[in-house]
Amino acid sequence: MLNGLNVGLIVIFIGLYGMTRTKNSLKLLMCLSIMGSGVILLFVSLGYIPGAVAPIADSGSQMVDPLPQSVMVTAIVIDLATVALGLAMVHYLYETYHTLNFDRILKKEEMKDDN
Amino acid sequence: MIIEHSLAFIVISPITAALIIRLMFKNKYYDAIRTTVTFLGLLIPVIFLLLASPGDVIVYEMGGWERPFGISLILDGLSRTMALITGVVTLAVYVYYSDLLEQDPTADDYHFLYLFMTAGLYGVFLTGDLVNRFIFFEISILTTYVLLTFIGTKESLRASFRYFMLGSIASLMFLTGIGLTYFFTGYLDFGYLSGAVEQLSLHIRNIIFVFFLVAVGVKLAIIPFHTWLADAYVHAPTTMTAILGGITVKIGGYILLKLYDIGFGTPHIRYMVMILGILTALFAAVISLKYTDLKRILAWLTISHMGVIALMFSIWTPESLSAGLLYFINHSFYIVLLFLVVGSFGYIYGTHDIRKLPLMKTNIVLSSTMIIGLLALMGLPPLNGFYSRWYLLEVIDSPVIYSVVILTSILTSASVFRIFRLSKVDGVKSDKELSEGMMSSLIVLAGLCSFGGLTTSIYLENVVRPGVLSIFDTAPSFDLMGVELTALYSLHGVIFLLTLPLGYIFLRLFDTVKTKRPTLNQTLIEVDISDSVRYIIIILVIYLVLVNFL
Repeated sequence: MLNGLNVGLIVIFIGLYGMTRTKNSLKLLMCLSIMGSGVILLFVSLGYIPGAVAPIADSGSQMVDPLPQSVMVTAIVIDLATVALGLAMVHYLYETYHTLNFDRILKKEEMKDDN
Repeated sequence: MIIEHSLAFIVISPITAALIIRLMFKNKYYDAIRTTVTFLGLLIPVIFLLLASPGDVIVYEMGGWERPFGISLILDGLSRTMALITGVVTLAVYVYYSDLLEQDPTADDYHFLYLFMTAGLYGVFLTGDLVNRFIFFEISILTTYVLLTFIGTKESLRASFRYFMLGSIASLMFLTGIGLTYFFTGYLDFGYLSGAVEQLSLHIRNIIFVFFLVAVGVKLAIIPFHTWLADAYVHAPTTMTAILGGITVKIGGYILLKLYDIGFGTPHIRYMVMILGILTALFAAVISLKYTDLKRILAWLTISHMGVIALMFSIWTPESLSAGLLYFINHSFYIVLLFLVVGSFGYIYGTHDIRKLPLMKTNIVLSSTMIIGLLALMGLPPLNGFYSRWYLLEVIDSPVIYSVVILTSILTSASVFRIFRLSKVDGVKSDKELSEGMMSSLIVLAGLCSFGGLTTSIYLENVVRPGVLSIFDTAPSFDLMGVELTALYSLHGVIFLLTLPLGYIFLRLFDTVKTKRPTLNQTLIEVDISDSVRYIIIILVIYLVLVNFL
């Protein structure tokens, strides 16, 4: 069944799968962002009722559930802050290590640790 | 009127202090005002928490909106305990670092972020519904990521990024779990959820918990979700290591308890967490025997203790919960003390390597608090570590879990004996001195470790019992005074005391004093982000298969 709930779950796991396939810090962050979109899609679909209108008071007809939407407004803001912080971190990672490959970043560290 | 709204002030006062610091004009008295405001912002919540009598349940509805529609703050036995630990630890850690901050050019940002993190931590423990728990957790964790990099080294940036990735995955999984819970029950408030979740079929509850398992696992750092912890602890600034070890990992345990409480404690789920807890407790303690970096040893021992806590909570009886809570509280105090002491060694001698540190021949405050901390970690009788271990053994009735706890004790004591054996009488020299703030907070924490042991019965009656009562209907009652003495010659106390020399024998027998890099293959010790995610997916698949076919 192709509804927002299932697609949301699939998108979350696509993001999670993407993280296993890449070592690039920037791409890891992109996968995180995809996961976040999946969660938002899933959450907004939770309150969806076919044929209902937006939850504004006194609109008369049947309304969709307002709670998931209000939660998602907060979650989008948190997602934005998370991605912004992550991008800043990736920027400094690149400036200090001159590579985005997280595997190589770890290796550089280990060589130093052995001494 | 202030008392009536005191719960809101607990969360608001650190935020207010943070905003005052940010918006204040620079002037002659700027530094003094900043320190005072921060101190007040951290102290006021503790005062409000102490004013509320234990055992009371206070519910505060923000803005007057009723439950389950509005946002509510709840102060019951459990959240009061956790919030008090937060208050004591954040104050002690701030005092520890306050003297050094005066010369620090980034001190403004440090104060701002530290206060916001504190507010987030209070919020996590006090809030009454799932979504706000998530939001407050994000407040505390996003500031933590930034604070971890404050030391400004390459390694701290890398460690923080790894923690950031895993923590963000955990947060998103937590949010997904919240969404599915809401979809099936229609509530987000804990009071209403507890009835509603229990009416769901076992199958649905098990499936929803997959998402919570990742969230709780990453926060509690149980295997295989532990990969961020050791690195983040070692490369973080001293203060943040103490906060992480003292409070932040405990959030995972607290959320786990709350989830069990609302009805996710089905046998499948509890056995799964129990197995992971046993693996964590034993494996991490073995790994700690391989390192010479003091911070890393303590970090692995913390993981091991978190495994024991997950194990105790998953038995899910009033007795095991009270033992787990006592362990929780005592662990907070001695691990914060130890991390601060190790940080002080790093500050004075510039290294955390145990082979170079003059453990006994240094500042008297430093060496005595170090020894108190290590002995509490090992569990020598007058200190608080002993009573929490003894009580664990007292309440366990399954032989498997009993032997796991005994083995963990042996390994922990072997690890502590190893620290003593490796340390030199004469190490590197330095002319740096401890500041007064550092010394005072070390002494206070060492006092909490030793008096915490001597007043175990008071702890049990006033802190642990209300905590258990806020979850179960009945709680074990304790005869005040006397637990401290009877524990010493009770059967389980004697058995536990026998494990301490066994640790030394274990150390000599396997000769783990040799300091190599870990010979165990690196698969579970030093892994990068994509491998950690792979472990998460593997454990999810295993969990789903087990749940569906058993």
